[in-house]
Amino acid sequence: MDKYIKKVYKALSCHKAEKKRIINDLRSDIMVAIEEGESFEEIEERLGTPTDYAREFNENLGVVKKSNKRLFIGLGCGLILAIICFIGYQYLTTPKAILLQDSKIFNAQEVFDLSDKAVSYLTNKDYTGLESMFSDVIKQNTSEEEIFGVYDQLGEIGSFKKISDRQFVEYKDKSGVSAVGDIVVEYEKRTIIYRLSFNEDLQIIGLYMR
Amino acid sequence: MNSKYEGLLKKGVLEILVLQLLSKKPMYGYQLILELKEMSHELFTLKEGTLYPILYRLEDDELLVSEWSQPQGKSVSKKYYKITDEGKDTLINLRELWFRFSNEVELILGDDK
Repeated sequence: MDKYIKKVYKALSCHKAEKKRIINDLRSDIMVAIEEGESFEEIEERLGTPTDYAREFNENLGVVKKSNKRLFIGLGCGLILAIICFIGYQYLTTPKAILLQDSKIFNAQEVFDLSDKAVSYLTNKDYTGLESMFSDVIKQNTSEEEIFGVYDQLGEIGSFKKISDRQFVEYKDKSGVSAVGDIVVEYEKRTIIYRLSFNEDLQIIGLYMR
Repeated sequence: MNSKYEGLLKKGVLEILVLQLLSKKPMYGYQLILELKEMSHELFTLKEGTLYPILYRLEDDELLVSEWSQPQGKSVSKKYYKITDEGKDTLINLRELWFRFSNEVELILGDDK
């Protein structure tokens, strides 16, 4: 009888006080039945296995079974792990930008000087000078008409007045590291913003103007 | 018949049946199971795992109290469940509701034209 009761106690999923209450009633029921002449075998047959007996209680008390609890904990841990992995992946693959002044790869002043030089070639429509600053890939894929044709689309700009702003960042993504910046140049008739990208060898790998 | 729906339908009236039986006299768990089975011509044959959670709920809501009997002679101590005054009031209200409930349900179910 004690063995049966112990097994029921183990299979119950509710809190301790409730378990005690159930076990008290179970013990009382068995004692009464024995008193009334039932054998323990007969009682056991009537009550079912300890697991069945406990399951009925678990279901009707609305408590989650232990195996389910473990499953939920497992799922919870899995989910948290997946979130951590996702955040980690995002962190590693998301492009990161820092101010060029804080870069350990680029010398900010060097990049500023080169960008000023590029702006002066652009303003003076000196393609040979500009081309000497390009990376090989850009050299092969860009023509003089392409670059200076853009000026025609921008309309009359007038003569150069000054460089009014220059902001560069060090930009890291899957393809590597570059220095990217906008140079705001004031001309007599309008302002043009040049966006320049330099690779680690300080060659121009991107040029855009608006 | 789908035993799930049979069980659900029966479950709804178990509290009122338990309160009604205990309003006649205090009883211990197994005694309640036997009386209910007999009085309902075996329609309500409860397992311990179904009855006790109902008794616990009613006890927690103070509609019942439980007390252990004094062992007399060879007889063992038993845990008796007894209805409280609050339990009696609740039973009166639930009985009223049940008669209205069963009446209306019968009216709806009888309308099979």
